[in-house]
Amino acid sequence: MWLVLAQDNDVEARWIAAGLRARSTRPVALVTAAMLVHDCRWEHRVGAAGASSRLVLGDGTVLDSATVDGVVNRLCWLGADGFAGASARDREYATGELNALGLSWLTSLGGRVVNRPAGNGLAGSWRRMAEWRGLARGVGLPAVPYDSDQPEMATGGTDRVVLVLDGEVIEGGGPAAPGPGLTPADRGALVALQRASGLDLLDVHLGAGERLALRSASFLPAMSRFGDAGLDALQRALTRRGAGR
Amino acid sequence: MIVLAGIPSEPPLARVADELSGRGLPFVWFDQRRAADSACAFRLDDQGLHGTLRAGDRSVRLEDVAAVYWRLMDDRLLPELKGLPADAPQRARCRSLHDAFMSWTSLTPARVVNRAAAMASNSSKPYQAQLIQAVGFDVPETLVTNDPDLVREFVASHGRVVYKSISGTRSIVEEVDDDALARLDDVRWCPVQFQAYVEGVDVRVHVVGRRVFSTRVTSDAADYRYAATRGGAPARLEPTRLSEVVTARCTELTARLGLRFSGIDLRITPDERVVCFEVNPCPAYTYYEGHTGQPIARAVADHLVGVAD
Repeated sequence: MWLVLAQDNDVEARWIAAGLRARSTRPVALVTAAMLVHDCRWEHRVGAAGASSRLVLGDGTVLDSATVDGVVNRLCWLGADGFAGASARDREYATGELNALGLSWLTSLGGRVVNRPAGNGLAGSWRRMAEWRGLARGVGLPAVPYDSDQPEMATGGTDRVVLVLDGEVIEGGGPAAPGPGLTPADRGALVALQRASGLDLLDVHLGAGERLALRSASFLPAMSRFGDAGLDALQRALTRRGAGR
Repeated sequence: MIVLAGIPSEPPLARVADELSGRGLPFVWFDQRRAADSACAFRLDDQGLHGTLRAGDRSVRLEDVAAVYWRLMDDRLLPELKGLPADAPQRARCRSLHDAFMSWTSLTPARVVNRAAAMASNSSKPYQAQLIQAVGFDVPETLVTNDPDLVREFVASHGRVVYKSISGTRSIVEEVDDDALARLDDVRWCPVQFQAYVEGVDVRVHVVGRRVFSTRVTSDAADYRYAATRGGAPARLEPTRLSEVVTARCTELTARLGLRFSGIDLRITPDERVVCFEVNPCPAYTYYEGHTGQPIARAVADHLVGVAD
């Protein structure tokens, strides 16, 4: 079974799940944060035998750690906003508890997850803009300057968006404005960025000035920009993970 | 230059400040209580990472900072902001100041005790338990569930069971007793973490770089931190020594988590198993230092100036 995990309003996740279903005979379940919070029986164990889990969703779907082959992880948080009868303090506490459980559960699925969780992010390490630009510079990928007094300042011209997945750089994320193409060195630096980030999958927004330079990156790529090329790559990534079990 | 960040009167920070002062080492405060008089600005460009930290009438170049020890409280809860609406400009400025400071600490090559990303493992106890297991420590048998029947089975299987928060939110560890079993259906609202009770002696280990300070804690309470306030005898703390293997495992665990300073909670069972409960990435070490005389603040100061590692 393949899982696509996402926030409730993630239309990209729906597109990804549909695309994967069309490409595979495996069952593909789209599981949203609300399903995990409000309509799920949780059983998560950690101990001498390792970590395991068995979740039963409201529709009867069983997500057993022994039968999940691959996960596309776009889950950012599990919130208790829907606990309308609880006090704000209790909701805040419950949100912390639910995220802590989600983090442990996703970690227990190990290498089957595309974008494994980190302590500071369910779908991988969350980074500020400054950190992305610092990380890029650290691996030799040029990055536009960052100024803490203008942290969200847009620098440079039209973006080029590329996808990096398991060491593969996928172009085609537009826009269509002409600009310099990716050199082998650019591709190498983008792969180095992906590896240094600890993510398996990210999209990178590049400023298209005289030279390509990172403006931002995200662990929640707009996969539909990349059409079949992105889905095919994702299917290969999930298949590799299942085969490696 | 060393930066100490947080509330200057808070004991762990104050003790390190005392150590640095005693040696005549220069340091500057990022004093949260004086956020309105402080500023932090930096730029990352082809010249590298550079900027300024201003505290009152004192400014330091960020590129001259060699080390940072921070224990920031939630800036939304600072007394200076009490009563101000959520959209007050003072709140926005304070948030922006803290955001710039934290961004800089994540980028600077200085020794940061500890970087925020590394500290995040403590946001989930069962997550951290999986990382702890990877270095060879035993961890308690744990069940996280919202199903009362599974809890009953777990209790039947393990006998004594405790429950505690899943997240890093501090909670008092409680034993599952008849009262708890009577309200077990409440877990349907939100999953709860249950653990098999581990018999044995508590040991708190502080790791600073490669230096290790171990404190044996004797208490009858399920949670020794609250032994006295909950009607029991206060916990007794004394220095102890761990085996070389366990000591090495503690330093390895600290390093693997990306931490420079940690507080590790162990329990040594009667059959000499070493069970690790959690790693605190921001330990309030002065409680242990005060009872045992172990020079932990001195070790932190040493680490900040880069000696004795």
